[in-house]
Amino acid sequence: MPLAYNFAYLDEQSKKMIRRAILKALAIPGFQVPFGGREMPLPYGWGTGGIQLTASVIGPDDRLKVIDQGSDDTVNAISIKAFFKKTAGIAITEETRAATIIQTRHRIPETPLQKGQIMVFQVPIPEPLQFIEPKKSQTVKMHGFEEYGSMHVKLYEDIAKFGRIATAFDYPVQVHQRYIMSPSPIPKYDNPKLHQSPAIHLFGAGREKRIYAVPPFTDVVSLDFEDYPFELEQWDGACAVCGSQNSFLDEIITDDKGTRVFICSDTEYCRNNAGKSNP
Amino acid sequence: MRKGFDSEVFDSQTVFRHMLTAMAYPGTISGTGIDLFCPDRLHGAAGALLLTLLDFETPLWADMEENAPEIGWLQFHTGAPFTREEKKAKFALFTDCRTVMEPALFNPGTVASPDISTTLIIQTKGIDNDRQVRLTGPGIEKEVFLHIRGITLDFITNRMVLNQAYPTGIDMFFVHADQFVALPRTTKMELC
Repeated sequence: MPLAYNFAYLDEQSKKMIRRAILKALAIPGFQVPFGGREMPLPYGWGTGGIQLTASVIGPDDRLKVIDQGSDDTVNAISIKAFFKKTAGIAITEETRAATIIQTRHRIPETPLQKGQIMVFQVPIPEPLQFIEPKKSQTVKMHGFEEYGSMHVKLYEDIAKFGRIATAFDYPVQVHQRYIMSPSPIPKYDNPKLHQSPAIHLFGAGREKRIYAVPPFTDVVSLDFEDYPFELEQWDGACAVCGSQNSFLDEIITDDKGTRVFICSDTEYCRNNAGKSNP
Repeated sequence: MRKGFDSEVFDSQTVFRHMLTAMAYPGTISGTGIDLFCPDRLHGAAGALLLTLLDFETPLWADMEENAPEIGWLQFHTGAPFTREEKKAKFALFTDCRTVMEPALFNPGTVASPDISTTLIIQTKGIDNDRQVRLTGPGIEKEVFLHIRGITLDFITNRMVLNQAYPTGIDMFFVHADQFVALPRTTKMELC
């Protein structure tokens, strides 16, 4: 049956426009490049920004991995994989090491990324200053003139109220000593993986029509204070499936009496790790 | 009219992926991944990069006459408007790198919109990794050495001055035959 779509769904002119935005995003790390976001055949919030990036980057030789909160098998990941299988006939993999492009909703894989790999992040709210200053016209100026004091005030208010910085995901970072950037709603546990990463990180926000990027080997610093340094989440136990103690854990309620276990959020890492300990 | 890409869809994707990798890892010399026969004065890589990125939204400036066959070929395949005003150009093509003196003549963008800036595509007499300039910055693990044959000292100095205005700036691709290398505005260049 002949393909009923252009390769990877988007028309060629839309891809050109997005490709130009990607190159500018890489040239200005952390800066949100506006682009003419297209209507995609799924609602905003389901990764329309990420899908447009993947569609503009992907070729017939690529191996695509899609994860949703670390899992290869949840509904968003499954439908995006089905979308690219149907519109581009693309090879799908669950292996982090084998993937050339990894589209992700809210996690960075535990397996270290390699040079040349492309991460595509789905971003709901690209503007880290939005909750401080809702006017786009103002946040553009704040970024332009590096007026970032209020971001630290927000973190300080957390310390004043809770005794610690309470932001656990979408934790703001400063990229290449210049732009403050939303790393997308990844847990702050994943923030250090962006710092000096060998891989290429692209971020797409479909509703807000913004593309931004972290090139490889770029400084990405989580905001903090000298006396309240950036800290990672910690767990008392290990993963109930694979026993990993170096992985981001999800809490799972197993019955209606409140019994709970913790398991790896990254399903591929967990499966490989379990295979290692119980061959 | 000479033909452009064999496949609009797959050739442009192949070339773009090479550009994306080149832009992500500045100073790394790359091929285009395709065979493309361009009119006389256009190097293969310059033609491939421009066919991949140009369209009706992107005014093109060049160090050639508007009625040159090379411009005609690019316009036929992309529909890009031609401009004589440096500041309005989205892309600028130099067929002779000795004439590139002052990148600041082009549009470096504004503090609010540094992305609305000109990208230069500069044909050179050769590119290799000999020690002419040392590159550091995002995308470079420690350092990369680059040798751009035919580029003037004035140009290198002027680029250093322009780079101090970051985040505004000019991004560049240097081309020779079917090879190219990217130098985004974040890449620091020092003479060896």
